[in-house]
Amino acid sequence: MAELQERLEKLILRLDLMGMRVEQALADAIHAIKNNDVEAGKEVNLRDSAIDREEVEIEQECIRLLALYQPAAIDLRTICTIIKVNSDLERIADLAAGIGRRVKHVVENQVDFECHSDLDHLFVITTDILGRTVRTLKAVSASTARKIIEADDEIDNQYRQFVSGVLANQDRSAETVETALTLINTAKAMERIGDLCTNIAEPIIFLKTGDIVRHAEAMKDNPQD
Amino acid sequence: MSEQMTNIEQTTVVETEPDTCCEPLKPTLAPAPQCAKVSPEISETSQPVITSDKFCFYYGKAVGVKDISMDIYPKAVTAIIGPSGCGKSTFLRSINRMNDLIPHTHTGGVLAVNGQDIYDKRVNLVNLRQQVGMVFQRPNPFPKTIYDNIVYGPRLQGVRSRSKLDAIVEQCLRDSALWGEVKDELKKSALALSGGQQQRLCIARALATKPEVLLMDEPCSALDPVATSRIEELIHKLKVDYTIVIVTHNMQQAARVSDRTSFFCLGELIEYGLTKDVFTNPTNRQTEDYITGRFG
Repeated sequence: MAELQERLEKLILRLDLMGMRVEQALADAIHAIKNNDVEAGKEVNLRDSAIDREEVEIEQECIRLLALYQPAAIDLRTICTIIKVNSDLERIADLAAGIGRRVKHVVENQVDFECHSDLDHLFVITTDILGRTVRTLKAVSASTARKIIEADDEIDNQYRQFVSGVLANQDRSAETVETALTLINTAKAMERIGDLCTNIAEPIIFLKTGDIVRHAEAMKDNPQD
Repeated sequence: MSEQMTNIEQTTVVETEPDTCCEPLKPTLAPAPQCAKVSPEISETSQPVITSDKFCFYYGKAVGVKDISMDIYPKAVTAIIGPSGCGKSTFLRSINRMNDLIPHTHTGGVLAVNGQDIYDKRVNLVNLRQQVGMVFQRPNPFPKTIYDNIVYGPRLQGVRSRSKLDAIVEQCLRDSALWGEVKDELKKSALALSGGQQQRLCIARALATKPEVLLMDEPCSALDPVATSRIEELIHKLKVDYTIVIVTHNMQQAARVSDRTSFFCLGELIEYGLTKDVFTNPTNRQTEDYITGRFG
């Protein structure tokens, strides 16, 4: 069974590397959209296919390990966690690629991201949470994972505050509506990334403790055996 | 059941695994904790059928099992897992005193079936083994017909009526999922059956004396995957009416068939809990290391 543990260790390293790639993709996408760098945006979008391939390969390896070794206990929890985290990391990379694709549109419509300090703050806290999430993959710390889940509220509040501000300030001409949508969609991507970081943190708690913390309130009302 | 029947079964025990019974235990692993971790969830409102209270079994001076305290609940499957020499078969065989034949053995603590200490001198061994049936590692049908294998026990219990014996044969073969395959060949030698069929016949034979508890000592270890799957399906069906205790080296089998799992190591009970918990999130590091193949 040592082979299973070796293959699991390799998988964890691959997932960690994928997390770093996703973190880099988001940082590059934010940099591109803030600096109207269309080429950098395209580059983020192009790199997304490599992350997609990696996601599929990691999932295939997980399925192979399940079929070949019928793992139990910590090994089973590790594979279940990898499957879930892998999928969520890929979705974060998709959102970063979406921002990268949006840069061209931002340049064409002369949307100025620099004057929106609320959005900039949203970029900062989202990048920070993603960074902490990726580092938690290696450290496997339930307490850090819980802090990430708590921190998602800050992203949600910042997102709502930003959207309210954009809607209050826009004058309803066609151009400004389009600008507002670009800004809101970009902010929405940050909010989704925050949710996905929460989704990643939850299985890390499961990996460490065996507890499924997702939908805790609903499970209290109708506990499943 | 007569003394003759008892002797046949006892002889089989010695034949199937002679070495593990008498082999001295070697302390090759980390020392087990003083007290086993028994999950509080494991308790039920129903009374346990088997109660082990600090039960010990010794082969001369060598410890077979030590201070085993666990309750086994009715109409459920309890798996005993652990590395070779950990005492799981010793404990299983202790439940119907199959170890009595081995010289220089003695016990300590209490092992009770339905509240009766089975090591009490007043216990009738024949009645105990009627109450607690056993299925062994390798199928061991008698060299008789299929029919005669099943009616062996009931005949010894005094059942003479042909119609009653016929009914027992049909019911036991149905209960062991063998009736459809052998109903037209009841006079055929049991030895002509396949390994998987022979094992199901042995289960049918064990059921014929209407036991309350069925002990299974690695019942699938000599069978192919298809025959193993049939036996596992059978265990699922049987637990509706019987209390089953199974010893297995196959972790996946323990996970699939049992409701509760106990982990033994070096003659001690290390962990006992609901199978769903033991196999996803065991509380003891030794249990986790064993079921994930890190030692054992």
